[in-house]
Amino acid sequence: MQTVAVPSRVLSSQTHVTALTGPELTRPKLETDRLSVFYGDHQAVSDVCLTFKKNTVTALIGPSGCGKSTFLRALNRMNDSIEGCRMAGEIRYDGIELQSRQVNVLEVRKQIGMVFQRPVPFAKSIYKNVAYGPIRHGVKKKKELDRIVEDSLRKAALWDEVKDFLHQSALRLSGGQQQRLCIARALAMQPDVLLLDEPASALDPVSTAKIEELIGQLKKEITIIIVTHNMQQARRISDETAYFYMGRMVEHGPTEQIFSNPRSEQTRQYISGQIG
Amino acid sequence: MMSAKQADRLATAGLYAVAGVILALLAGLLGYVFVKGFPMLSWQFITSPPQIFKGGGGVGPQLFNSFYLLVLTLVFSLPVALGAGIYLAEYAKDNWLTRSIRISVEVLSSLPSIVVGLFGFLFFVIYMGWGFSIISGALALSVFNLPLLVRVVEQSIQSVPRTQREAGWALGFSKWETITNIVLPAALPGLITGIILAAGRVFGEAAALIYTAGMSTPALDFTDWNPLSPVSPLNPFRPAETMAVHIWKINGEGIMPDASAISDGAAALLILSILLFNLSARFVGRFVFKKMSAS
Amino acid sequence: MAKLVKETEHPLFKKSSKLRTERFGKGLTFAAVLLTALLTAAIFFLVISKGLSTFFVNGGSVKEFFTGSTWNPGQKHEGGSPIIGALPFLTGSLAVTGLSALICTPLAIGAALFMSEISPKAGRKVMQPVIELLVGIPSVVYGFIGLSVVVPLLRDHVTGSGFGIAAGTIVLSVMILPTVTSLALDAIQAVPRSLREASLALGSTRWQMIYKVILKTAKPGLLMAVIFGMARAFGEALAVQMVIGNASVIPHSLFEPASTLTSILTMGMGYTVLGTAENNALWTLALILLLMSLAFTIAVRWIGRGKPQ
Repeated sequence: MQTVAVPSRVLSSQTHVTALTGPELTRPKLETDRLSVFYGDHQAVSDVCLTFKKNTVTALIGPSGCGKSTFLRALNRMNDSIEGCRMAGEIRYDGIELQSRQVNVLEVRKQIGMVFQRPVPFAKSIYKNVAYGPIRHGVKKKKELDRIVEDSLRKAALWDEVKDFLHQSALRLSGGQQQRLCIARALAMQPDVLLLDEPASALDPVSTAKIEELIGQLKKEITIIIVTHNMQQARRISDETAYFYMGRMVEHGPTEQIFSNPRSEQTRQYISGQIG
Repeated sequence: MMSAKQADRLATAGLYAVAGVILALLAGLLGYVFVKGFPMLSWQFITSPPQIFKGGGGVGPQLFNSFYLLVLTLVFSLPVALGAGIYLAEYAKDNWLTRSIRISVEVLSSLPSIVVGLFGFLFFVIYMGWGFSIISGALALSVFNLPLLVRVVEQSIQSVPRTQREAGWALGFSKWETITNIVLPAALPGLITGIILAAGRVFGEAAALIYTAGMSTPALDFTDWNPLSPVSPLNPFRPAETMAVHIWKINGEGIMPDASAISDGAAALLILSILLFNLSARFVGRFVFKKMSAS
Repeated sequence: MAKLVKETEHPLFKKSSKLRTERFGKGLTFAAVLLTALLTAAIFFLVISKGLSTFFVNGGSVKEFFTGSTWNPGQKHEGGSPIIGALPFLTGSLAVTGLSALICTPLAIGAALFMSEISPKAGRKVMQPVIELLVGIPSVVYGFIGLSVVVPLLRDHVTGSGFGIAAGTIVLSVMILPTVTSLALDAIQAVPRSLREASLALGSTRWQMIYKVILKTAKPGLLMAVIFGMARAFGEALAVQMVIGNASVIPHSLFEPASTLTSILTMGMGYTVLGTAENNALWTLALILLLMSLAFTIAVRWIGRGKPQ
């Protein structure tokens, strides 16, 4: 992946000093400025400008292939690993351009966690699954690790179900439990932002409900961006919603407004089920 | 003219016959080797050294040599194969360099083992001056084994779903860290199965060895484990005839009266070992997976 | 209150040692892959340079090598060039390879069809393990059984000493059978289900479906399997050497002692001195082996070029 157009304000950021004052709190945690993503010649995302506020849940909706997942994966530079993928435009996190050369992409992914469509537990024990991230990032003390594991599993509402067999294989958990384990694993890195790529699409209704409830809890601490196909789910759990169509972001606003009174006719048609 | 139905029935019968022939062939092969070879197998046979002029010799040193060479071969070839397999599976971009490397690995794997043996003879035995020795033999076997192992490593790594890697990257792991900490452990069961099967092939190989490890074994003192001592079984610079080479050699030029019985016994022992390799390949892989996912 | 934070202190700018180990790991694995490629190059270089010296250093005739039938590289013609007629070995090698492919192909394809189309259950439960086991049996054991079963059988029930191309062919076809079968099985199983069902739906019998659809579609894969088997047969040394009789004459019958490139190489290398014309001539045989295995590899790649790996 090559980085396109490093903006001048980042290059001069060595000396740049920012004041974390009043307005700073309302500054978006994460924002994109005319972000485009290309796979070879195909442009999957076109000029998307979006802002994500602290402690809010933003849902990205739209028909399959509309570019919402690609957009999500651009936010933690996950697309870097795809051969032939190229990005243009800016992603700013705390005001820092993420594609800048000085930015350590591994730190980006630590700060911006991600949970995937299907549960992806490692072939290790439940404990190791959660502890592995912190261990690899330098946490050595057993006590500290125990605390992180318990904390993360509690936050992911899984602790009570697994606390008695932490050292058994994670592969033996049910699909819903595995997905919550993956959320716990992401939380163990203490991220500021959590990206969820249709986290409940492979799960049964009960597990889905648990995950949704969990998201409501988590947003007290972190910023959440969730891609979902399920309109009811978007409406239930998100504060803001952005509608994507054909690689473009059509409309973005408070969820209630998007669902009750969308500005765009296209959005209205999608929400009412007229566009697949 | 036959009707379609008749032709179908005839063909089916033919295919059953073919399957039967193959089963009979294996039963015959195994039956022959075991029926003739098993009576030979005794503790004395598998531990005592061969006799040159009279009967009653064993294959003790040959059995030891086979295992020793196998171990050294794996020590040499496994790290290189791991590296090469990882590179091809994880880092290689699709360009001319990668393509030519892939072709060269494929060509290497298709070389007749006698050619690999002759290369080893020229390079290790003559140019490096190591003579007919375990080290020459192990290196020649490593060359012979390397392309197969590279393929084993590459395939078992590729069989780990991409999502596992993404999950690692999403935790802020570098690519290398993800490979060593997540992908390799997940690939381990397949890796072990493949390695054991490759080991079976190395164990039975003879053509690559006759001009590298040699066709003789000096008198060994199995109480002397100092690798520098000339009579130590561990000495890597002594010649070493393996079981497979022994079978070949005594059938060509053996002058002991019981050469054919010794070959029967050695062949049975060889096939028994290969059987063990095959069986353990199945079980060890599964066992490791169970063990690993719960720790 | 205003807290001042330098932006470069933001955790995103942290340098981690992970990036260094990343470079290290990538470099290390690349070195390994390079070593593997270099080994191939080294083998080619050594064998080619040694093999060509028969012609360039000892002045042997290329034409004689491929057409002459007297092999005595220790002796010289009147003009001073060594006597290097390798035709007997070339014929021997090609004969055992071609004949064993001829015997092996119908058996292997038949067994693969049985495992895939007739009785997949017996195929998986019985045939598969049998074939895996057969693949693992060392070639010396095949040679030894050939020597102690096939050769006496031919001697007693057919004609001659028992040693010869016929014995070599039998041993080699049994030896390559499991490999060719499992590759043929892969090729047959790669034929899409839909093609079979379409054919059966049109009222074909199973045999018509196999004959017209499966064998046709799987043809490139089956051809690759057979060529792969031939490559193994051509390069096999000891198993053949044990049963072929090792006489360096052009055989006039399948039941007379003959020899192959590999058998002469195996027998001779230990009895010649490195650097002599005699020894160089053997390396020329090795060169032919190398080039043939290259040709087989190229053939397999060429046939499989359309297929995704």
